[in-house]
Amino acid sequence: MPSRQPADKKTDDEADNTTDNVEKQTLPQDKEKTSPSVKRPVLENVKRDTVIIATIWAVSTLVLEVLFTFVDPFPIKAAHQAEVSDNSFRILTHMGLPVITFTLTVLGYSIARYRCPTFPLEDGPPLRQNTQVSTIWLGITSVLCFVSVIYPGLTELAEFRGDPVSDLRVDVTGLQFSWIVHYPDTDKTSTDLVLPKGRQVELFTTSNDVVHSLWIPAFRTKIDAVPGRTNSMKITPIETGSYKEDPLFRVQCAELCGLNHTLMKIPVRVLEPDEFDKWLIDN
Amino acid sequence: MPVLFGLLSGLVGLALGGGGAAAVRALSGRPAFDGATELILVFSYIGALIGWVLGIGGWRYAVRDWIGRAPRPFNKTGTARYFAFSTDHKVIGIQYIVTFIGLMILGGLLAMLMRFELSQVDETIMGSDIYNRVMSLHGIIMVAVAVATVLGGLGNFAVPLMIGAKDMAFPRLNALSFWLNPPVAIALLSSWFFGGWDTGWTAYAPLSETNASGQVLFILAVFTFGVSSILGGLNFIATITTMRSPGMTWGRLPIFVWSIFAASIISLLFTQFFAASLVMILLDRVAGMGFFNPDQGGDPLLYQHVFWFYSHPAVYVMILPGFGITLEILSHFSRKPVFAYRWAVASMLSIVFMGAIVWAHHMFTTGMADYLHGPFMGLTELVSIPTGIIFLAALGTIWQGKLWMKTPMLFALAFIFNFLFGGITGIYNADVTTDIHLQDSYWVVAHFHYTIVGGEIFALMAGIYYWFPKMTGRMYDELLANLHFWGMFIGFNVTFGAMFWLGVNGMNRRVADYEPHLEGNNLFVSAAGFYLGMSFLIFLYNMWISSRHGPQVVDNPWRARTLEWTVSSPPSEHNFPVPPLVVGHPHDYGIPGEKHAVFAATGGAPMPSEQEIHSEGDRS
Ligand SMILES: [Cu+2]
Ligand SMILES: [Cu+2]
Repeated sequence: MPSRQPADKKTDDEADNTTDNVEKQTLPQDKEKTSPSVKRPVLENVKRDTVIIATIWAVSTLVLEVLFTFVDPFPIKAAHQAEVSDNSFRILTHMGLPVITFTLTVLGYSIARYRCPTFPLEDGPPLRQNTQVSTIWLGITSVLCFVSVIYPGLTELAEFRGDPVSDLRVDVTGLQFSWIVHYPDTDKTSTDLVLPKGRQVELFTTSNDVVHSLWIPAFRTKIDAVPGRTNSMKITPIETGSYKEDPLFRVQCAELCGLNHTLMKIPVRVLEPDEFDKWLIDN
Repeated sequence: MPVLFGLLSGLVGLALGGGGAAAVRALSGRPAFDGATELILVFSYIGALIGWVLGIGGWRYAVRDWIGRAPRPFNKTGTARYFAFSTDHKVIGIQYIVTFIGLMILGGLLAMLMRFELSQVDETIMGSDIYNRVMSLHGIIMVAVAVATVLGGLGNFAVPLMIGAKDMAFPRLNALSFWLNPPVAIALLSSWFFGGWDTGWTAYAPLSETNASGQVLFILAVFTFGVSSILGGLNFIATITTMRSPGMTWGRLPIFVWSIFAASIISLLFTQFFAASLVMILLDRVAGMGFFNPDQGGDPLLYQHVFWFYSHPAVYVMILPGFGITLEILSHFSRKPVFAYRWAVASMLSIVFMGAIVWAHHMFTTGMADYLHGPFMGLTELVSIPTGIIFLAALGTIWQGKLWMKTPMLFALAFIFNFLFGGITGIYNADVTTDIHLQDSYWVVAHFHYTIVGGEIFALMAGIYYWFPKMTGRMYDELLANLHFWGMFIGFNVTFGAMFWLGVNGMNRRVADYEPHLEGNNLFVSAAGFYLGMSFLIFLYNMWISSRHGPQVVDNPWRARTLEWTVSSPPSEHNFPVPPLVVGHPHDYGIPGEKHAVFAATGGAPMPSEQEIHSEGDRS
């Protein structure tokens, strides 16, 4: 039966009182809100469990943090942008690890300690809210969030974008299903992307047909090639290399662009600056 | 057979629509069909859709009413109810679940095909063309499954029962929401005969304006699905606002109902944007407009902005009910109240609003203005705060609880595990410097499967096992269910866990082939994927066999407190023989004597009158 709601603006506590009143009239049985026999052991359990969980959490976090400091899970970093991006990845992981270990410890411990194979005849303790715990939780997650926005977030982003002025301009045009690379300084056109080590390059992209995306995994950089627009990004290669040595040295189209999207890739080569200068004038 | 009649009437509509458009062209002196395939497709589809809706029940239930004649409901009983237009929310819920589980299996088979292709470098079983179409179909089917199965399926079945209502607020609209879905499925599948479409479910312009005509059917199908979503959202909001039983205050809503309410707000307010972006593509294609064509002054980025303005919030349509089911089940199977209930509700509502202002985190590499990067990164990362509160509620609920390790509980606990990784890896996509590398790579594939499959679909499974006895009156097989759980849990984590590595190491998404150095890992992912796929066979077998031969259950096999467990299994047509009077919180376990609801017939006391309930606050 559809019914309207009473204009109910009561707080939680008042609502609970109301509950009692209605119930006392409809169900005149005696009842106690808290039963002392349940309360004692719960408090002791809470103490013991907190200590165990805190210990497991601290130890596992420490071990994983230290381990992660010494492990380098990333592929080749061939550009300054790759160092920045991987550093952000590393910092975010360091910040996330304690959260992961905490959640998994509470989850795992609760399952191990409090699982019931059959239907539990007793209910758990009626913990509806603990403002202190919730506030601390809110505080910690907020701090983590704000810190990560500032560092690595905004600070590393500024670093990633590079200097306003670049040493070299390269234009890359995407078309179904290839890339055309053009060096306006010497009006040289190439089917490989060749860059000098140690110089900041500004790469301008556009597209002749649909949206493509220019991704160079070894540099951790990506910029879309959008018809009717010219986008740009800056790269400072710090490592020489080529597609033959490492498949991450490639321009890979990363935005689905139709039939041969998969094959839309060209090799990338990073040369020593003097070699590059020679290559650039060599037509 | 009402379905057959609907199909026939749909075919008539198709002929009228398509024929009409061709006739108008011929009359105006142009060739009737030549060069107008897409135009005729559009009108045929519109005609077919109207014909289908009228034939399946629109005429009998609604139009007769409008023209002053008495509606003629079908009044089917037994299994036949599920194959006809029915206004019973429980029937509709089960229709949704069965239909979309079927679609999920289809989408899963497509995923298996993709993993088969990707198990080796070079072409294995299909070329790029077929691969792109298979991948696109997998994408949109699974998005539809993720949007509709929990909301339309479990939401429809459980929400009216949980709030003590006899049905949804608009039962006929509810039935319409469901019956709009078969044309969606038919259009998506028949698009294959018009060249399919190869843009993925995101349908980025201008690719989606120049490819095969299958794209038009995609647009029409998704538009129809959007209408169904909007109507569904509207219906839930109206139901939860107006149909609660006496005493069911907002503060006493079960947490699952709150999550459906929050998700429905998004469905109602944001789906239009996806529809609008698709209509613009349709107009560009069929009517020669140029919204996204730079040569005509349009802008391809406009599409992405409008698209993501819906499609980011859409992930909350998927995950919020997942939060709700998980907290609901954790509470009932830990025998404890939902910890920090009010904070959890506030978090879900704040996610609704924050979801509206973070869409451009999908666009850090598109060349949109640099000054937008910082704000969208910051706003996106802010979402981690309310999400953190959901984790607080989940962990606080199992803390010191009595964890009854039945299958629904296993899935709910696995939700915490999976979503933890899904959530944390999302931060790397929100952070601009890491996202520029990870965007459009397998990292993203892994991340969103962790949130949607590991989160929502695990919650969906939890919910299906949890409400299975209520839906069928029978109990599922616990051993098979356990096997399904472990297969799915291990298979899922191995498959998608390995994909994170692929993304970091330079494998881009939506490709039929990859660099040879990634072959070992891809073979591993494929093998794990097949294992994950097989676990669903156990699930299907269990559902099939248990719904027919499972042991009969009592009304409340879980001894849970919420209202759906107070009625018979399966519930009678109007749910409650006696309307419940809600007197306490649904999750208050562990407080002796505390009750959620009383019934006049069982409580021994007379039902208080409307007036008494409304004045309850003044008596203290
Ligand atoms: Cu491309
Ligand atoms: Cu998003």
